[in-house]
Amino acid sequence: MLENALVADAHGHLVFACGSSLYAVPADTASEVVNVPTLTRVPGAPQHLLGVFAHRGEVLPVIDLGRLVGAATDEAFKRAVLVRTPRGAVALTASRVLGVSVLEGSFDPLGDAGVQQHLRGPARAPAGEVAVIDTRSFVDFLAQA
Amino acid sequence: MTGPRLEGVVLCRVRDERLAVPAEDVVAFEAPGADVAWAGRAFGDTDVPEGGKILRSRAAAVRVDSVEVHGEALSFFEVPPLLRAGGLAGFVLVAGELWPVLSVERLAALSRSAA
Repeated sequence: MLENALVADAHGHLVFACGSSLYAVPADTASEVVNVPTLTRVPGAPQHLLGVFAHRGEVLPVIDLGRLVGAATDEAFKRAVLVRTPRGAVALTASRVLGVSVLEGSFDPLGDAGVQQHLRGPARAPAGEVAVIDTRSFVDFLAQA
Repeated sequence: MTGPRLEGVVLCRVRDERLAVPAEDVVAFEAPGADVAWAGRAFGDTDVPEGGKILRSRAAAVRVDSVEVHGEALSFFEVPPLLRAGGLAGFVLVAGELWPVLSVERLAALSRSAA
């Protein structure tokens, strides 16, 4: 472990891939991995909001992480990681879900503008380098985007 | 199904997209002809078709491809917190599909701003 390395927390992070990038969310905010059904598009929505679907009595927005970070793919996502925060729940597109890992490395913001402010790293999971999503501020950002 | 219900909506199709407008908001259906924004613009569709119907409220008008008045009470879902800034009133569930509910005025504004 590097001198200034951090271990994220005792509960670990759920690591998943979206396109060629790896992301992680605190495991205690990831409530489940869902199969994404046919979505209902929302008028006036930004491109990264793919649509919504009904799940267990609530409407869930589906966010394409690739489009949000400027790395869009033509992939039709069939799965999503459902993240719950005080500002509501959101489903994040996932190509693969790699499971819960304890992360090491840096947890500094990856940028000072846009969505990069709400991604932290570079952190390391056994599967490789991951961007850690600061779920609370990320969802606040999405609500204003 | 228990939970909130919404009675009286106009279900609108715009290409493959679905929209619902509260029936009480609509004062007239008109044939297209006037210079009225097409609702497909609100979904980023720039290939504007001919025809359809104009929905007119007291404050605004918007053109859609087809309409169907639905009088039965439908299951109603609140807008997720993430989408509350978008001016949606909620969603109704029709035959297992969600339809976003919004006013004619809001739909017209979204369609004009995207044009």
